[in-house]
Amino acid sequence: MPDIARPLSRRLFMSLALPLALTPSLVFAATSAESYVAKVGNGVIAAARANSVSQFRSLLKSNADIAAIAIYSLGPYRKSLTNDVKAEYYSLVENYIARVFQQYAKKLAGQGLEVQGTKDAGDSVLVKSVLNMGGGGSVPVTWRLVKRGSSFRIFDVNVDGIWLASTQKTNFVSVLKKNNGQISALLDYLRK
Amino acid sequence: MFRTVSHRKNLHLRRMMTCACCAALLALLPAAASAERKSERAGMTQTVLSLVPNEESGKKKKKQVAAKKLESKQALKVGPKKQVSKTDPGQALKTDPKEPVFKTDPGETFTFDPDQQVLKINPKPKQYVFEIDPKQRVIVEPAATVSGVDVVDGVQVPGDLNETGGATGDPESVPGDLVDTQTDPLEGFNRVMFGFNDVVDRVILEPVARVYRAIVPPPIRRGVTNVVNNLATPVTLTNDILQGNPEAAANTIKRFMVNSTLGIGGIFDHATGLGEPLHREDFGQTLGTWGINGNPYIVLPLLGPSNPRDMVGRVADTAVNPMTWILYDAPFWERSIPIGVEIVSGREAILDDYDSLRKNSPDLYASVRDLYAQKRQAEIANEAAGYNPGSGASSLPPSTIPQTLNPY
Repeated sequence: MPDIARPLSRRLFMSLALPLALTPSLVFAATSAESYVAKVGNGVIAAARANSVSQFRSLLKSNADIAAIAIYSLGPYRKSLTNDVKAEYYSLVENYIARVFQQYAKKLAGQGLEVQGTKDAGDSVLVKSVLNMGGGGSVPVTWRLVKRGSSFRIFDVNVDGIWLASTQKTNFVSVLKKNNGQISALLDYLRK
Repeated sequence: MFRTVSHRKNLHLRRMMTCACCAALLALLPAAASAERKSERAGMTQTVLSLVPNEESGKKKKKQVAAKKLESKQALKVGPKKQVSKTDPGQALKTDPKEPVFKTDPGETFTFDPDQQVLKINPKPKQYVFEIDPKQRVIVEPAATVSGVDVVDGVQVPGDLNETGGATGDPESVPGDLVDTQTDPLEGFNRVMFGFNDVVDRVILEPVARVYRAIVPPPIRRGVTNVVNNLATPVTLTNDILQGNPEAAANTIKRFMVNSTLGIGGIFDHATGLGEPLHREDFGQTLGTWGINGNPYIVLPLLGPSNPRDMVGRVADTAVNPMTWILYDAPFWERSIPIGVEIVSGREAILDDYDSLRKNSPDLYASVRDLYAQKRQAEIANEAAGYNPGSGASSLPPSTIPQTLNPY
């Protein structure tokens, strides 16, 4: 009897202790991601109300993983990016995204952002939220965050079912495809 | 007499032996010729075969080789000679261990010049050693791994370029796609159809939508949209049930009851104010929830972006829609009113977004295809807002003319 009871109790202990030990860290990760989104979301609403490209750019600089977004946006052409144009490309992408946000400022200028929950997507964390507009309307906004060090960075934003980075990738790949993968053509497109 | 007979027999035997020898020789000659031809075809000559240890010929050739060694190197520079054999150091020429003929370096090969009857030594090709900085990655794959991609061997790629993406824990990793890939094997046909639809839109649909916006005030336009949504209730309710979503079905019923009565036939959307927001479902979405993917992409004339799943869904929804049967025997123009109103109302709702897309997209076709795939995926996952222009924001998608034509 003691021979059976001992391993069972150990297993029982492990099965109870492991989730208990992991739960606080998971809860902490979820809450930190949610609080991060709440903070950034308010910044986005403020920038949208101000309709300011510079404010959007400042927000991107401090909260978005521009390098990852820029590389992702190249799709199958990412190997065309060489070190000599990397810095310029990142800067142009940052400006491009800031202009896209400014273009949709009217739609993002809501009353407030309500964070609804977090979902693990393997290589990233998805934080669901709702942007409350005036007059009872709302827009679902999902934030895709990547872990960078001890904090998070925004990788993509889904506004009402449309991922902005994915749409941006479609545009960049179209430009590169038309120009035989020449990264200089994409840089010219982004400079416009 | 006996001697004469035996002598004759001997002569006869000799003649027979001679004949037999001649016959044997004649029989062997074609075989030898054939073997020679075969050896020639295989890149070997009879002279080369004389490399088989032979003291005299070996010495003679050694001298010739020694005299011609420099010449052979020059000959190599001029043009490639037929390579006859590749030898390991000292092996091929050391068939007789007592007589090592040559000492060769690893990698050296021999070429026989039949004109000059000289064996030439081809020097070992130079080997280059590349030192690679382990901190940097170098592309070693062929240039044309991905068609149309500008990749050149040796181009250094920054360390943070992650080909596959999504490596958890790697601080420099690039996450992968969340959107399912939309295959487009009919791109040629689709682009033609897209161009046709674009002309129809520019000539008819867009101008009509602009006139509609100009002459109909926003509250009336909103009322029209609400009526259209209310009429779609049977389709949404059927698909709520087929998707096994009782909460959504309850929401649809409540909305229909409130808006049909308090909302005066659906003109006013009081249900949203009472906590029952709008959502729309169609049979294409239902098929999506059952695991049927949206490939391949198809652009239909006038109807726009679609796929086999959504085409089947459209037929099923038309069958479920009561308006189809109410107006079944009505004249064509009467039957066209509900769909016409829906098309113009939907096109007006996305006028600004589609203008922006047209202006900024480097490839409008590719952008519309991507947006359609994303939007449908979000609708299937119930992650997109209901079609509610009153919110002032949910008109970001569909962003396509064809989806405007798609009533759902």
